Amino acid sequence: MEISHKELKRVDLVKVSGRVDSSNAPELEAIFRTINESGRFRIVMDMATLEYISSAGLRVMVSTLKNCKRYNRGDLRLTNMSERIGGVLEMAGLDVLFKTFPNAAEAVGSF
Amino acid sequence: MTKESLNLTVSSNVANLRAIADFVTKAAQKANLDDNDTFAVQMAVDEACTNIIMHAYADTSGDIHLDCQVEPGKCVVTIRDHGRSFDAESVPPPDLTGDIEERRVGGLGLHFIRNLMDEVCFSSDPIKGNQVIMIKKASQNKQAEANKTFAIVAAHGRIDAAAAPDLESQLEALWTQEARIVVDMADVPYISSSGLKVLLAALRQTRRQQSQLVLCNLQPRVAAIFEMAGFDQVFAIGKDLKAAAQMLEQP
Repeated sequence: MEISHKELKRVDLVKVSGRVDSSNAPELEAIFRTINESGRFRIVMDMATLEYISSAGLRVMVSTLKNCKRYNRGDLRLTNMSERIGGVLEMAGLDVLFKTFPNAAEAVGSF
Repeated sequence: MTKESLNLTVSSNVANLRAIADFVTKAAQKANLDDNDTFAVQMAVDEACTNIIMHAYADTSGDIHLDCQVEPGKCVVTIRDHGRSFDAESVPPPDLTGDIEERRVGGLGLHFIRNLMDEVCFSSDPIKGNQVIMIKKASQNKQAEANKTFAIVAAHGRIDAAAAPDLESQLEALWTQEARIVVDMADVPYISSSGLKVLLAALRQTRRQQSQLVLCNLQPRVAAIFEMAGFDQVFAIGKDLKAAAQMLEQP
């Protein structure tokens, strides 16, 4: 798994590549936590090169979503989600919780 | 390739999940499963092994044994561990609705496993340990099983020497597309030997190409003609369309 984090003017863009499973989900969680702890709650997760995400990774996404949305201060939005990853979210009933966009620019611009 | 068996034993460490995924992916590909099915197997096994590491071996450590039995179109994965015993039935189903604040994200792994695989069976034994067997069959096989449709040919009027060729060409055309044909004879008051010949030829065709032909709704006079010719013993004849459909289900 590789994570690239770009801090834009108002939004943080986090691109996750490869596989997210129990072994590296804590790493992903740490990145999100760092962003939140610095007072930033608008995050876009770019899934263009995300091959696989297990329930462990989904748990991180949900807890980050909860934290960002609290007090209406932000959101975690998704972009470039493949059909397969979309299917995984759907299976978990999480597809209804996240706003998704076809590309990073639109996702960032949505805030 | 008939059946092949692949094995892997790893210690209960999340660092080994990648190796497990690679192993299972290779096995699924050997079974000629397509990308989606392979992804499903890999994900189900990942979730199962994660559960073993996090729960079965929560306070201890041990080995996880994976065994893949592969044959064309089918992959059977057996995962064994000697950790804390596990009762799959006691795990509450995950919360798949509810808004964000209420949503618990527990029990998802099990839900995924059951959703992704065709058959899942958990068992626990004080000596042999915990075991989960999960089976994935190639999706296109299941598609073929699901497409249990058949064509209905409704014959009309007397099937005599003049009309028989028409019925013959109708059936011949159908055999190129359909594997199961029901001939509805409700509107046929009479059939001559020419008509019987056409039906017999069609029946021979089914034996050659492993397809099925069933007749139904024979009028009493036509049924008598079939009996006289001994054809009632040779053809599958259903009382009505529903009976004919049922006969198709039991080859």
